[in-house]
Amino acid sequence: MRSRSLSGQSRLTGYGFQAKLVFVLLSSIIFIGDFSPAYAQTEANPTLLDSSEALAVDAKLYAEAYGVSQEEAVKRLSIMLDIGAEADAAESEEGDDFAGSYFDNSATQFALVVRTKKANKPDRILKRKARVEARRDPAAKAKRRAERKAARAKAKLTDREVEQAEDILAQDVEVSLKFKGSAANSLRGLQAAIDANAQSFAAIPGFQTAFVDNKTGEVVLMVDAKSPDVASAEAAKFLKMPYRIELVPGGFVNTALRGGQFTSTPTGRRCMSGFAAKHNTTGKTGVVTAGHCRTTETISLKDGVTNYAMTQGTALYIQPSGDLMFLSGTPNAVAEFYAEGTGAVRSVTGTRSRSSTTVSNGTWSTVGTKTGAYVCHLGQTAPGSSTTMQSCGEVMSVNSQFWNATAVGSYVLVRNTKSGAGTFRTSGNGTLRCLQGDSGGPWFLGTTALGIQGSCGWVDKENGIAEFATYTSVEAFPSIGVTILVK
Amino acid sequence: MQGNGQPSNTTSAPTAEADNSPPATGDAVRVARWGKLPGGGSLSALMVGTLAVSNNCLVISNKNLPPTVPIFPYGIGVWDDTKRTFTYDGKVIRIGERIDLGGGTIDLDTLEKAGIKYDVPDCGTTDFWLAG
Repeated sequence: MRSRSLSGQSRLTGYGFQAKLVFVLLSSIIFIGDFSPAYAQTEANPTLLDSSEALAVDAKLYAEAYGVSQEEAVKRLSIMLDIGAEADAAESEEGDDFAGSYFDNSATQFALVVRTKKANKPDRILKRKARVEARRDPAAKAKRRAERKAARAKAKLTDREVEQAEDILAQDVEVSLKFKGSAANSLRGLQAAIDANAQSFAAIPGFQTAFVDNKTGEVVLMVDAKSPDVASAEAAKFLKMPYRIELVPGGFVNTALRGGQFTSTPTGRRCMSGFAAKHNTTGKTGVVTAGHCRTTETISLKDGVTNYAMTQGTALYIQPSGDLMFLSGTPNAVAEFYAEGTGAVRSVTGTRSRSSTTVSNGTWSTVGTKTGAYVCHLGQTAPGSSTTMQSCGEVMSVNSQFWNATAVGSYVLVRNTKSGAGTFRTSGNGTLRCLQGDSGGPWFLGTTALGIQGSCGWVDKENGIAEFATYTSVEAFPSIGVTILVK
Repeated sequence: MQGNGQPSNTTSAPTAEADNSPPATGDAVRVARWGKLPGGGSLSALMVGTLAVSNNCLVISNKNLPPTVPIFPYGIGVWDDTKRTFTYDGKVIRIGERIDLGGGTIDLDTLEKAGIKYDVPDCGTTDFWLAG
């Protein structure tokens, strides 16, 4: 995690190779929970993954993020893991002219790029050396398959995926080393500018941290503000290096509260967080959940494997106008939310009111001529599971009620569909799921925040096949004295 | 039983732990109920606890805390006084067994103000869970 201190930040942007890893950091072991891959938010019966299994899990994410094959993803990540010494040597050749380095993940040909003030140089090939201990003969692989069957099933890994990772770790892998010459400033010079202006940075309103972008050669200033204008004007007064401002509404924190996390109590009451918000009076950040998640017990919210005790704030408690409660704790909250089952987070970039939400003119037995907004929420894959999934439905009303869906209120009513808005589920699962324990979770469309999960009606409760769900619009946040955080 | 009103004052202090033993002879186990409306939804929070009997009420045992009284929709969930079981969502749950119960925290004021019919016995606790 990044530190707020400049000294801590300089460790991130100095010459140490590890700081240049731009993707998920692989560890030799990771824990997984009961039903899910590495993103489980539970510690119940954790399973220890070995290095090949961990690599295979992370490669799936990488492959999806950068549109490459699983094999290519494994190769790239194995290079990021093991090529530190070779990369450091290449950087050292540039001496004081070294201007930064980064992995070019988006390129068709994956490469380590070294920027330098010197002139361009021809590309070279670096070789990641094989891990001898990763080699297994066919008999050893077969034995390992049997031993790891349950663990791999939990992590949703096939033997082929794991053995592919094993094979790649056990062989040399080459990567292209590219040089970009004629950089305007050295990394050392940029870093010195940060160090020399530490006090001036700290005086910028909302300043969080500063670091060097190895790819662009800019000093990046992160500020807790709604606009970059003030910070940019202040920085221009003293910073003589290229810079840019990045906004981090809610501040930059070591651990963060965000939407889509699980809340729990000592006696087993379970909900989710919806979206991050800031209290209008105290300025404290936190998350909004459903009002009916309130309890006389202490609510904990889990970020990764750490539980944080929450303070229950003002609640709008199962009223016609909505059902909300503010939770705050030691960590600050950030304008992000988990939206699907990969563990990736999305930034909240905007909100949508009920009046701006398109409503279908269909009925429960007829498809309308007007298509309602297709909206999604994050929920569990089974009640009490730490594994999450996104499911979606079509908005049928923005004036519904919990007690009676046809009565006038302020809940948004979402119907299960067959294959998307404008279709009608007549049988099967449809597109919408709802599980007990989903309350409080986020409803969204892309990165637009819509509301907080409240209630459901089921056609198959045991399997979470919803007939409908209702949520409280984020426009009701002011009624509990908070404002949603938006980036 | 109370209907559309607050329960009478408690007749005994909330028990620290729910009593999992059968009630005294002649005391039927009471199940709290509410009138779920057609077309109405169910709150989608989750409570996991142990099915128990406290003050002759069907409750969810909450470790060392006062028990929670689950309020079930009328007609949903059947208590069998002979077998000492509660059948809910197609599952037969014995006293002392785990129950996973969807719903949400509720107070009787909210039901009252919403005009929702309910029958909640005086179980010596004010911690209620509106089951769906």
